[in-house]
Amino acid sequence: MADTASQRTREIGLALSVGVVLADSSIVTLALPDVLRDFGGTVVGVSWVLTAFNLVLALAILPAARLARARPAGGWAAGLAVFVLGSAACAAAGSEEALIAARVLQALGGAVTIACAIESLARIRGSHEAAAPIWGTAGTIGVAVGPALGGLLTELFSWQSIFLVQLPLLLILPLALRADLPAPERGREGRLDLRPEAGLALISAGLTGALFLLVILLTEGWGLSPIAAAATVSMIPVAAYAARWVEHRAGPPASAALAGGIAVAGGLGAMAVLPGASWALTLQPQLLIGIGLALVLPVLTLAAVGGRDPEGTRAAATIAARHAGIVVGIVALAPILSAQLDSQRLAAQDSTTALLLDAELPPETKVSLATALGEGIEAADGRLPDVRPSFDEVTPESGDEAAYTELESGIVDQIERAATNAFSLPFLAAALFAVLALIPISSLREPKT
Amino acid sequence: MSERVRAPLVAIAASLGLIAAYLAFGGATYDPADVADPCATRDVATLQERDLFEAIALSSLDGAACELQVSREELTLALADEQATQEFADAHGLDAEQVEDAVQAGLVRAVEDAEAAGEVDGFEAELLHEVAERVPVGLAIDGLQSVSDDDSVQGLLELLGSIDGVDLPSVSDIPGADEIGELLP
Repeated sequence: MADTASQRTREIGLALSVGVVLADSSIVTLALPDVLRDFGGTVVGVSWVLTAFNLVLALAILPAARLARARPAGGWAAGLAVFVLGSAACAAAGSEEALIAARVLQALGGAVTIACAIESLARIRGSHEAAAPIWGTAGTIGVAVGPALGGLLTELFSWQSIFLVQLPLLLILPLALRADLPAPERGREGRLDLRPEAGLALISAGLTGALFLLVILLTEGWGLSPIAAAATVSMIPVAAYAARWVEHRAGPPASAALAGGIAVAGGLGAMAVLPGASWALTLQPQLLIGIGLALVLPVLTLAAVGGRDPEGTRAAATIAARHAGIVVGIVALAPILSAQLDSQRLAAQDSTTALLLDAELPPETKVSLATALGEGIEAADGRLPDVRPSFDEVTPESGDEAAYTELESGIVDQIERAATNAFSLPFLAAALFAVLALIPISSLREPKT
Repeated sequence: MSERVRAPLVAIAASLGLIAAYLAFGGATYDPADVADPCATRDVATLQERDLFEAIALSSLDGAACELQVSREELTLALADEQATQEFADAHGLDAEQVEDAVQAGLVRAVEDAEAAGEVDGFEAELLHEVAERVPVGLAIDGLQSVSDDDSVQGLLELLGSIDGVDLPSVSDIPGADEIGELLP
């Protein structure tokens, strides 16, 4: 009984470490606007805070799997220590470059942690195939919950707190030193199947669109607070969790995966044609994406890890594929978003100037307002401005209040239209990744019974 | 229906249904409004509701924007300050002088149009011509929008006085409309 409880505690500790490390691949998403404000720079530049972590994790996980095979327990403790050290360095970073360097350190430690946790779980459970559901679920929860958690911490404290809360991870280190692990799985490694790996990579690239783009739209485009944005994007993990009640109706695994891929593509496609600037309009596409992810990810992960994987190469390749997909997604989508924001800012500038010139207000009021708006646009430093404070600075003449309010709502509407429109093409590109994922997904065969 | 195709078909239906609903509610056209063509005639009723001088300023912007083949709004922002004018000129392969010339020509034409329509005459028309031809265009456009119809002569004189920072006399001190030329810097 004591052994079972000890094994359970150990599994929870190992799964927790995988969940926390993989949450770091998305946890800073909602903090990026604050990081951008603190350090300056560009959207593309700050996106490297996310990209660097995922890129290094994708590159380091396969070599880390070899280390894990030789020293799973010691490697896990060492990896976790480096990861926590990297987290502390992130919290202390004084520049964008220092933050990115610290994220690289975090990812190196994280890759070793995950590889060793996977190997340890495989030894405890008897095979990598048997261990996959544990770390797979922990990782999916981590990635999905990451943005909401990061947003919450950013709003309540600061973006640095995201990294500081990871320091107590050191407390679970002793778990690794308490008991010997069983012997490793024996046998020859099966051939790597690239189809599920490609599917995972492309779906992950699309998922980047769902998380990275959506949180920036909510916070920077529509002016939601990080905590409100965090609550909004929680729809994806909630929908993914709720999908467990429809999974059994989705038919055989390959069909369920295909349905899931289609739902992810459909949800991202709907994001590209949002008919208004309201968080509520993002809930329905998020519902589709969340259910889709719950249907497609487990099937792809099991298809990738299934079969003979005594060395854990397939399991590590699965992590590499997912994070390579996230990197491809960010690297492809960030420049598209940046270019679209530039062009839509100019369009918004023209349309709001037209409203101001044509407004039925005394010229003196317009001139005062133009000055206040100009200062607001200057302060926005190339991003879409919040014009409401500028309107608060000017007092309309008696009798002009209605026209003044109408002008304010008209200008806010134009800016929200521009902000929303700037994300259409990037969401469409993200949907395209999900559509491309349907090719390898549709080639999956149902397991023989 | 086969169990194998049911879930994918449901996913397709849900996806297309949501996208179609969003498109039906204006998803494809939810973008910033296009600005009006400066070469096209604007709604007369809208212009008539404005103060005369503001209408002249807007009309001159339309004329200049049409000539430069840009939007009225882009030109307005370009006249905000010298740096904005230079950036606008660089972006369109012009020099700042060409931009100012175009706006000045638009201003003179707008004053002549107002005169021909009988909306302005005599002393007021003469002052307007002086503003159009002498005051730097950015200042003239901004200034005209602030001149009140009820106190136009004083407003135009103040605008002319702003050229070199010279304080011109109040309209009550002006001996006669014919002598206006002598008062100008």
